[in-house]
Order: sequence, then structure tokens, then C-alpha cells
Amino acid sequence: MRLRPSMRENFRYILVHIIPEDTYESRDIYHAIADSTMSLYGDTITAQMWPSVMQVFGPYAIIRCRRGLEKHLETTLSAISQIQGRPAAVHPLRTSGTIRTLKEKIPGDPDNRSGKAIISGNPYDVIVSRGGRIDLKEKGIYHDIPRYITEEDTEDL
Amino acid sequence: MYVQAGDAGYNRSALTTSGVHVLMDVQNSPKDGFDRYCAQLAADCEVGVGLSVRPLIELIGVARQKMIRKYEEIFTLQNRYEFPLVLSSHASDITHLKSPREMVRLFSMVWEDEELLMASLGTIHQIKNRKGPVMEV
Repeated sequence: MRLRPSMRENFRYILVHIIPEDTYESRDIYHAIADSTMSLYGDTITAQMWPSVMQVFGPYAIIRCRRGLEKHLETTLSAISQIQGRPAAVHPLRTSGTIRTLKEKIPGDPDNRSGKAIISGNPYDVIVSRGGRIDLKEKGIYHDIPRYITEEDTEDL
Repeated sequence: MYVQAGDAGYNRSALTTSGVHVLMDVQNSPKDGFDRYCAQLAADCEVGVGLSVRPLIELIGVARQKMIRKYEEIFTLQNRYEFPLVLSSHASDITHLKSPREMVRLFSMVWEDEELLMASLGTIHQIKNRKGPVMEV
């Protein structure tokens, strides 16, 4: 069912740092959050919270919940003591209404360089990985349109 | 100087001993081990009562419920007698370390007054610099 924008849920996003620093699967993080939420608040709050792992960047992750329950989620995250059976701690760092704001707060990833570029008059976010791969993300709602760039464009980037 | 809590008589004796800064693990003392008289003594002598966040994380189920209830009793006494509370992570590993924000969030499960919780993170300084009848040994 497609709702009008004014009727859609409002979410809050929390940037977390996971210790020890390692690469984690979003599924494992979700299970740890779900277990902790169930243990602390039970089925009712867990059902109302809608916790979800949006993105994982190495030891950092962005977790989503419904607006108004972000403090409950922060408590839940702080109470996590293990992920996939290994001792771990999840430290909530910041809460925001958008993913983009939180992504800007993630300490620089040494493997990737990022920037902005305008190609054919359109603004793009550029991510250049160490292996030479270049990802372009066009602003707007149509993220999945493939773009092909030439050698000359690559030199400009 | 941190002192491990015991029964009521031991706690009263510890609280009135000069040089004692914090009484720890009050939640593990026997029933009525830390009563209102102990709370009054702690307030008069400015001896902190230490609460650790680790039981709230590591215990589950009924054990955690009991711990939350015991912590709530201590917070209730603190609200009445205003003795210094010392909140700590009791970390013995890097994964046990908690930021002030996390400490406040976890203790807010027990007591909702976040101003008191934030203030309790800085009471060690107050206890270390106390002036009054209790003297350093």
C-alpha cells in the first residue's frame, strides 16, 4: 500500500561504532539488536520500534528506528555485549533524521576517497576505491540508472 | 578508597571510617544491608555509593529484573537523603567501556532523572575534595 508522504512514518537514524573494530554482517548486527531489544523491552516495544540496520561501513553502522523510540534503541544498543557469540560493544555516537548527515560524520575511510563532480550538467557524489573503481551516485530518487564515463572523465575525477 | 559493602553493621562501620571514599556493590549486600540509616550516614560523611552498569548488561531475565529493583531502591534513598552516587562501568575489557551517553541511557532504565545521572558521573571529584569531619588517613 502506497501512502501519501504526510502519512508515512518518520524515522530516526543512529550512527554506531562497534568494538572490536572488524567487518560485521548487517544480519549479525540485526540479530544482536533484536535479542537485546527483546530482552530489555519485550515484544511490544520491539514491534513498535522497527529496528533495522541500514548500512554497514566496517566497524560503523547506521541503525534505523521509528521516531520517538530512539532513546529506547540507544539503551538497547548500549546493552549489547556480544555479536555472533563474540564479545562486542556497540557505541551509539549520533542520532539524526537523515542517513546523509550521519555518513558525513563517519571518520574517513582510508580505502576510499570521495568527492563531488558535475558530469553533463548533473551533480554526482563520487567514491573512488583504492582498486581504482569509481562509483557515481546521482542525486535524486533514481539511484539505479547506470552511468558510463570515459577515460577523460576519469582523469577529471 | 573503595570498600566492598557487606551487612548493615559492616556498612555503618565502613561509612563512618575515615578515609573511605566509596562503598561499592551495595546491591549485593543482604536484605536491609543498606537502609535509611546507612543512607543518612553516607550523606553526612559524603561517602559515595557506587553502582556498576555491568550487571544491567550481563544479567538477563529475572536476575536483571531483581538488579533493576535493587538499584531503584538505592536511587530512591538517594533522592531522599542526597548522598553522592558514583556510577561506573567496572570495565575489565575494552568491550566493557561505556561512554557517558551510554551510562545515562542504561541507568535511565532504573531512574528517569537524567540530570542526576549526568551529575553522578562527576561525583568522584566532589568526594575527593570533600571538607569536613572525615579526614584522609
